[in-house]
Parts: sequence; C-alpha cells; structure tokens
Amino acid sequence: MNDPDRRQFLQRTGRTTCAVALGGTGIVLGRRACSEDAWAIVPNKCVNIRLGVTGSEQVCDVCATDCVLPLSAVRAVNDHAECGRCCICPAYYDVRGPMGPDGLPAKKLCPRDAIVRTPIGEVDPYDPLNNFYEYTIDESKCNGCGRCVMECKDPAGLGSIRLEVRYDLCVCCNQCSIAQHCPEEAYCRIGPQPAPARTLEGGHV
Amino acid sequence: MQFTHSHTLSGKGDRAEEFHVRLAGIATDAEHRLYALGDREIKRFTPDGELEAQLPTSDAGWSIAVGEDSLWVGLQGGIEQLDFDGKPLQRIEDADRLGLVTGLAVVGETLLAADATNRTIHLYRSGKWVQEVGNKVNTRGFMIPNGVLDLALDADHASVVVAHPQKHRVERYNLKGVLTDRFGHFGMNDPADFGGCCNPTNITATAEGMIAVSEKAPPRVKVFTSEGEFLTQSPDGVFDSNTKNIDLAADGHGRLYATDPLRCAIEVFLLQATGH
Ligand code: SF4
Ligand code: SF4
Ligand code: SF4
Repeated sequence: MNDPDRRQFLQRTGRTTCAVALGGTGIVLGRRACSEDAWAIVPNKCVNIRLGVTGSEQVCDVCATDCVLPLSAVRAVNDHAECGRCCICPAYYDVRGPMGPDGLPAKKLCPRDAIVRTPIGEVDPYDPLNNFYEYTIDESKCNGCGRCVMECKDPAGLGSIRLEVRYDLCVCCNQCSIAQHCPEEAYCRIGPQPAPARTLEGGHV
Repeated sequence: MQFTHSHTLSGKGDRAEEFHVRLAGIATDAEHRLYALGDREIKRFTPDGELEAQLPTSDAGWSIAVGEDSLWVGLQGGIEQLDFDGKPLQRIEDADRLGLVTGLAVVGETLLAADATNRTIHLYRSGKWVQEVGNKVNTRGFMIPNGVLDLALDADHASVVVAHPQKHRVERYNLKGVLTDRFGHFGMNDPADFGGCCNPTNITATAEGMIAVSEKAPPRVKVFTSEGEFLTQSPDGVFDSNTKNIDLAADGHGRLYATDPLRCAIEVFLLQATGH
C-alpha cells in the first residue's frame, strides 16, 4: 500500500480498529477527527510491546525517529509495581555484551543512558546479589526508541516497561507523523479528552 | 552424556490424558511412574506413557511430590496428602505461614515446601512446622521474578537443591537448613552459565546424582554433575519459545521429563552416558 492510500485506509478504519483494540479507553465512534485528538499506542499491536517478537535487535524505532518533536513525545515508562527489580535487568544491561570484572555486564543497553538503576535499601556486603534494584526512566533523556521494552518482555522479563505517548508533550498533530509510518498500525487516534498521563514515579517501601 | 528428545506426552485438549487449562507440575515414583498435576487432578502415567489413573485434588495444585507411600500436593496456603488411589489422608493448613507452594520435596517424615509468595522454604516434620530453610543467607528471601520457587531432594536424600533464578545459581542446603554448596553465575554465552534476568527456574535430581535445571527465554534444560560441572543441554526446538517455569522430574531409567506449561505438554528426554 503506498503512503496516500495507506493514510486514507487509516482514516477509514483507524478509529474502529483502535476502539476495538483499546476497549474501555473512552473512544467516541463516528466522530470526525480533529486537531485536538490525542494519540495512543495500542499495546497488543506495537511490535515492541506485544508478545512474540523479542530482542532489542528486532526493535521498531519509528516512534523515536518519526515524531515531529526534536525528542519524541513517546517515552518508555517502567511500572514499578510490575517490575521484578532484578539485579541483572536485560533492559538496563546489554546482557549479550562482554562481562565486567564485577560479574555484571559491562555495557548498558539504552543508547541514551536514560535508565537509572538504584539499589533498594542497603546492599548486603556479604552477598550483593541479595539486593533488589529500582529501574527508573529518565524522561528527559528517553526518546522512546523501544530497545528496553523489547528486552523486558515476557518470558525474558516481566513486561513492566512499555512505550506511552506523553500527552503533556504531544502537540496533537492532525496527521501524526509516527502514525503514518508505524508499520503495525499501532499508533491510534483516541478521543478528544487526553487520558491523564500515568504517574509512575516513586520507589518501593 | 547424550541428551535426546524421545516423545511428547499429554497436551492441551479434551482427551483423558490431556489437560484443559493448566499443567502445574510433575513427579515420578519408585516404580518409574509419572504423576502430572494440572487442572484439578493428578494423572498417573505408566513408564511406557499410558494413562493409568486420574486422581482428583481438592483444589488447584501448584506442585507435587511422591513419598514412600503417598502423594503430596502443594496448594495456596496448604499442602494435601493423598494415597496412591487419590484418597485424601491429611492436609497441612498453614495459611498464616504458607503462600503459594510451587515446589515440594519429601523424605520420610520431612517435608520441604517452597513458598513463592513469601519467597522462602518451610520445613515440616510429621506435619508440624519446624523452621525456614535458606533465610539466613538469603536475607531478602529467595529472589524469583519468575513467580515460582522450585527445589528437589538430591540423590543422597540428605540435601535439597534449590533453583535461585535472580541469583543465577543453584544452592544446596542440608536438612538442617544450612547452605552447604552453590554453583552457577550469570552469563549469556557459555551454556554452563545462566542467562536473562532470572534463570534457572526449576530443578530436579536424577538417581545417578546429576542435577537438571530448566531455563526460560530460550526454554531449555541443562544437566550438571552434583558438584555443578556442566554436562549437556536439551536439543533446540522442543518447547514453545514463550514457555517458562518448565517443571522437571527424572526416573531411574534415564528418562527426564519436562513440562511445557504453555502447551500443557510433557516432553520426555533420554539421558544416556556415552562411552569413555
Ligand atoms: S527486565 Fe523488566 S521486570 Fe525485569 S528488572 Fe528489568 S525492568 Fe524490571
Ligand atoms: S526507550 Fe530507548 S531511549 Fe528510552 S529508556 Fe528505553 S532504551 Fe533508553
Ligand atoms: S511505530 Fe508503531 S510499532 Fe513502532 S514503536 Fe511506535 S507504536 Fe510501536
């Protein structure tokens, strides 16, 4: 399908498919799209989020490269309630790379160094592996490239990291540039009321 | 050591030997029969893989162990004992202490229950709680992002081996609960190492003293000597690539059974020593 055709197709079918896929997000069917509309990523369509394809080498980085903003309005978020808080997180470390002298992978996965790893509580001096770690996304650095999402996916990870459109950053283009290039039609227009951005900050008790 | 895939038992479906929804765990007995716990029953298979009996459980079970004269099933907050005909004998109700029992081992009057909710191992004698195992060295509990804690009695019946996924190792405890040995560390390239965020997930010991563990992403089974020297791993392509928490059981005939929870299937492997 060439680009104009694809755009028309998206306009015709987009709202219906997204309504089905997003179910429960308050979508108004049969309403004309307007420039105030918000966009959302449908998790079970986005190749970086949905089950099946794994490994950062298979990543789709269109959300990072195609947004009109200098730093994409799409960012990774880590749902701390779902995170395993692993010592060796494959979304944080490049687990396929060389090992460091401390027995941990020597390189980080994120090309923008946007994930912060913080030990929870005091590190046990007798066995550092007795520790949990909190992984927080530094949103000022993240460009939504999706690599970490690809690695924290079931069954390798727990799927706690996903990509989300930050409504506070998105300028609600009438024809979202990412949506036009998303290979999976996973970037969808939702109703006029932007869903509130989820606040996922905060540590573990 | 040769490690070959022989055939597949059970699966998801309506036939008597299949499970409708879930396959939780497996164990073998001294007669080399296989017990598969799933849905709300135990299916017993002969050593030749014929379905021999279907024994209902009172609740959805999460783990199974075979004692000298009975079966034990790990539940949420309790452990149930059945005779070999499926008749309930006793039930340890310990909901204040016990969470989801995802691993069980029994020797004589001693019962070890791996509690995935509280990330600890409880030791019971004659049905009475005695102590926790591993809590002194694992100051924040066993670390199991995969949601399952599994253990097995070693061939000598004097120690218990535990798969500790987040620490990427196997730990051995004596029956007083003292850590006596451990092996394994993180690594993605050498098959002797354990990769990903949390592997190995499940464990069993063979009659010859070998220790078999399972991993996820990619799903596979690895076999080590009792001291932790890597011997062999399962051939590729046997399991669904997204399956995890592969439970293991070995019989005295060189068979190693491994569940594929996503497909409710039991994969049968042969472990044979090769000539020197
Ligand atoms: S892989 Fe995902 S679930 Fe595991 S520690 Fe990393 S962010 Fe958390
Ligand atoms: S989405 Fe990309 S830039 Fe953002 S934290 Fe993950 S790897 Fe880093
Ligand atoms: S462009 Fe589509 S498939 Fe690619 S990361 Fe964005 S939403 Fe996912």
